[in-house]
Amino acid sequence: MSRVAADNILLDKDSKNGKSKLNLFFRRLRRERELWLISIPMIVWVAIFAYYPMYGVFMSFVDYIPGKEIFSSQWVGFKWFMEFFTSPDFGIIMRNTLVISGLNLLIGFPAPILLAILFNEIRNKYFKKTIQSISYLPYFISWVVAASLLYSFLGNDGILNDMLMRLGVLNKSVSFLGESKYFWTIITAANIWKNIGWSTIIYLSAIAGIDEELYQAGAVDGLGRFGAVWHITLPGIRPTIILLWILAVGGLLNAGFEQQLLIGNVQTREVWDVIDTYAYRFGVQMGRYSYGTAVGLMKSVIGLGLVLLTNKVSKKAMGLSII
Amino acid sequence: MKKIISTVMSFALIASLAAGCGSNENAGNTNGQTPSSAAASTSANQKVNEYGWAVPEKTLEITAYQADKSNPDTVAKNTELINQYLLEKFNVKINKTQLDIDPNEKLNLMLASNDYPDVIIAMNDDNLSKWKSQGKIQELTPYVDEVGSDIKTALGDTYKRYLDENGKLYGIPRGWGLLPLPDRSAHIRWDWYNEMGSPKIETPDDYYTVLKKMLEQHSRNSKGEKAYAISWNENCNIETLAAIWGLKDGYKEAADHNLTHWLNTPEGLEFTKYFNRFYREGMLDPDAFINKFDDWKTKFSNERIMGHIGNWWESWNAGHEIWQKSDPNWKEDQRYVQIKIKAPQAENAYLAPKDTFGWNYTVITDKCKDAVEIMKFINFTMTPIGTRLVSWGVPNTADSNWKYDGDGKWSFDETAKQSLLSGNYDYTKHDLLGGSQFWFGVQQSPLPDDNTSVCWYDQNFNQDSKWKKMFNDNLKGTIWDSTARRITFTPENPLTPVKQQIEDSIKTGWAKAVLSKTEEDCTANFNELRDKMNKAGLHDIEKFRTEEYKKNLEAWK
Amino acid sequence: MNRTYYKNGIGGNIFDAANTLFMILFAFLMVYPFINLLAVSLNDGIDAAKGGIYFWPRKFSLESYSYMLQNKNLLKGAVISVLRVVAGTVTCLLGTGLLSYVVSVRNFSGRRFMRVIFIITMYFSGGLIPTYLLILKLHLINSFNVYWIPHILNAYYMLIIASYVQDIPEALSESASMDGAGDLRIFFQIIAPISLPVFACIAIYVGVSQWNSWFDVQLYNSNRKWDNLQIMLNRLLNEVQGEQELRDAQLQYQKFRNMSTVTLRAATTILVTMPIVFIYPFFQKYFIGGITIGAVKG
Repeated sequence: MSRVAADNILLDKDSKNGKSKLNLFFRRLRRERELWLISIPMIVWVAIFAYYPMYGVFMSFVDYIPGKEIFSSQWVGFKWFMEFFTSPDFGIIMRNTLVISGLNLLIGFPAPILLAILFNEIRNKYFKKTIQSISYLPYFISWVVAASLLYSFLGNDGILNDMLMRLGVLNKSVSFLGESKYFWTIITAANIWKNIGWSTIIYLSAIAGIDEELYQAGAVDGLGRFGAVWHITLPGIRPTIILLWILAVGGLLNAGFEQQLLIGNVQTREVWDVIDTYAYRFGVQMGRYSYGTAVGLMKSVIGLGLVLLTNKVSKKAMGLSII
Repeated sequence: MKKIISTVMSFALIASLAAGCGSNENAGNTNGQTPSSAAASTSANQKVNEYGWAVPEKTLEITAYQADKSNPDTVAKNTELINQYLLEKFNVKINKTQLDIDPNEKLNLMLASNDYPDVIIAMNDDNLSKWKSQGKIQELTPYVDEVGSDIKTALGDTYKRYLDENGKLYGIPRGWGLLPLPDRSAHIRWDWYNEMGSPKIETPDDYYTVLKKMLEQHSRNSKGEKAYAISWNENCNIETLAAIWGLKDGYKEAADHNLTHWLNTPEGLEFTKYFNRFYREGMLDPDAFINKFDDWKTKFSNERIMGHIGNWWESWNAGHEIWQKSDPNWKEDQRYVQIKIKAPQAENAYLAPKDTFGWNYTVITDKCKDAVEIMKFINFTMTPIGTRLVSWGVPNTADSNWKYDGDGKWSFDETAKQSLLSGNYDYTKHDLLGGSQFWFGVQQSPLPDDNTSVCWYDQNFNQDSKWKKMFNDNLKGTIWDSTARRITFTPENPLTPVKQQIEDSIKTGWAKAVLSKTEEDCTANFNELRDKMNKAGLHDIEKFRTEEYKKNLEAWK
Repeated sequence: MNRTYYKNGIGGNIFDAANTLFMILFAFLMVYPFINLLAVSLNDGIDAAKGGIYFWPRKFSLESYSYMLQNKNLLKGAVISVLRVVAGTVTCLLGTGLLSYVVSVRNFSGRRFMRVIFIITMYFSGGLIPTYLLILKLHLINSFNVYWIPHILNAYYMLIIASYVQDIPEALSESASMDGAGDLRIFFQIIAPISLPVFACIAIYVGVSQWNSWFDVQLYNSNRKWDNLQIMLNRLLNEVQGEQELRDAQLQYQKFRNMSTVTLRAATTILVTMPIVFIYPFFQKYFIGGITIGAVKG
């Protein structure tokens, strides 16, 4: 007897007999005993490691000085939030955050899906394995190294300028790293380059989880090779795609930190300064923890809100929910 | 003569130490406390080592955190030898940690967790006041009175500057005193300059003209890469440029000591236009504001840059220090030399501001039980011979750079000196000697016993070194005492975020002005930046700085 | 895909050719930084400051490697790195795997609750200071345990595994349940084997992130006893990040003078990164070719 069936029968019996809901509850608890036994240590763990330190968010509403008790600090209400919202650079910072993050979502998100499918279509097993392994190498390169390579490639005397001038496309070198209009393209490309191979792993694992019988059936039904990709592979990894998309939307305000500081420079500050870099300079570096926490809290609330919203849409439209 | 002085000094030192310990005993008795181990250990048969240090019977352990960002692996390696030496000769063991985490962050974590060592080295003003207000650091005045006579002697009249409004001392200053060496200026590629017949360079325009001519002759390096007259990197600051136009630390000072930021001065516009001309004529490295130091080094070492305005060591480090080691045909003229340039209307080029107050402080926390003993050691490190030991590292070994014969008699190691003069000094070996690792209260001014030796080992032979001498002679008169300009912006100060905002925008806006296509654009961009900054609160910053400056001038008269 | 049951037409052949070409270009773009680092690391340190090294060292030298191999702590760091990866990956896979199972059992009454309390942790955290104080209170400071205990359960991985586990036909676990198997047994004997691809994927994610971790070493284990390889690399890289607050020219000079050479940084990157890069091929077999659920069913 399956669980669902047992439940329904119990439910019927209980309601017929008019027994209390409490009784049902205990019965259920007994049946789910093992699941709860597994869950309880997990609840304890999450209470200690995640929920207990959350008293720290209270810092956003006080004037916290390290070494003093958070709860006995001077209450300032929404002062830090207001300082952030009314700072002269607020508009620029929000714009940069949303643009850089938006580009990461729109281009950076589908890119690994496409790549995973292309990987999957490689016919030579060894070639496929090799390319896959190579593809995630950039993930291991630190931004410091990546930025210095980017400089040698895109600087005024870099390889790209040199090539374009030799080909006669340009007659004077272009400061790709120094001009604001190129920055968003460069950082999006750099982000994709660094993460694309790494992100394919999850899609490859999802593809590997598709039941082989489906492909056999597809072949029998006369689906071509590309038809199989469209009708079997893509729908097969759809739950993974949707899950990752929901989570990615929640990270909309995380537009990066290190890459901005290293690829950006004084000339392009007006297009790279994002919430995290800004909050770092005006919070942590100035010793103003409350300010940094307030910005972080704002990000959390918006992030969670976005996730719930996207989840709702996905639930309605596709019947998939993460909750 | 020198020997006699040193001998007398060391006797005086021993005497003062003994006196200090004696008074400690008295203090202990009058306060009704049990005599500390320090007092108990000053028995007559206590061993006094060759440095005049009364070796304690029980090893003195000092745990310390130095709030300077550094690679902990390197620090551990470089403290090994000197720790061994101190343990052996002084019976002192120092466990110093230095981390590569942001020191402010670490100090705040220490405060929050109540988990910190006995001594904290290199604490800045801001943190000092925070720790003090929370009662986490000890008042040092009584200890200085008890065992710190050398601290008082060394600091002399300036000692009282470090006392708070209640006359109490909380931190021993580090890096105080005036190092009589210039450090920033314009630089020029020397051999090429000589090739041109060394035309006179006195004004920024002369500098420009010479660089222009030089660039015409060396427009490409041997690999055919394009060369530039001048470059810039993130360590260069606009203040150095402003100094050529007579501004001090980026501010114009009126007769009544009112300070005006360079953006609000005609000089500011002028030096911006000056730099803009380099850009417009293709003489400025187009990556000037993008270069990181490594990229900069690549350009200098490939002979693509003729000059720069900034720190003395930058073009040396990026230029001939590489050529010397990698090019067998290198000649010593192939290098960058400092030259002084001054705008005609400026009274002086104030290129080298010197803050004699010091960088930061060493404090003793409330966790420390042995404050008197530790203070004794800090006191020792501030005597002339003690300063030498902690600055130059372990003496008398094969790799040492100085010799100590006891009784205050010391000398420089001739081999080390010669290799320094020839530019072949091995800094890696130097660092292993442990110099500058235990700077509790180091002074930058020349040590009082000979009035010439300074804590930076490699700055001791400037008169014998052809190039360093030229550097010093060329830049005579560019040093000025900027101590009263020392102003801290605390986190509580509402101007602190404004200041950050303005600094960020100025960097961006100035780069934009310099990189303007025409002079009119440059002026327009400059004016736009100025108006924007004034609106953002630059005038408030000027006012605050002026007030604080005047306060300092008044207090330190 | 090595499926023989699909015919490859002309379109397919053209596609294969284009795909192969693309992959070769793509691979070059991805592997180039490593080639470059390798070339730089094998070059003479002073000469490398001149730049311009792309594929091949200009002035060959092994000094950086010999310097690194002299470091007594290197081997210890490697051991700690490996232990970290093993302990962290095993505990996280077990813990988070079980958690994912719990939140996937369709009519478990605590399912939604468990999901929600974990999803919240993805967005809200206490921040640096409270977390530091907690770690201190639990005596995890200066210990190996700080590397794995705070990472046993991870909400992000939970959702990924759960989305996979959810798709496993319920009939499988139900039949086991009827045979009297408990939840633990169902998880280990049925769910986990079918979910191998996703576990392999999470194993790589966790393993690599454990190998690459250095910030917690810097923050919690500053006494250097538990240094892993990555922290050694990051200490070198952190030196490069300019520190503007040093206004004293002498102090600045001292700092820059001591900075490690580009070659040493490159050699360290190579030495620290290579071992973990080679872990991927071991997991790859789980991604090649699909799983046949029918086989498990039978």
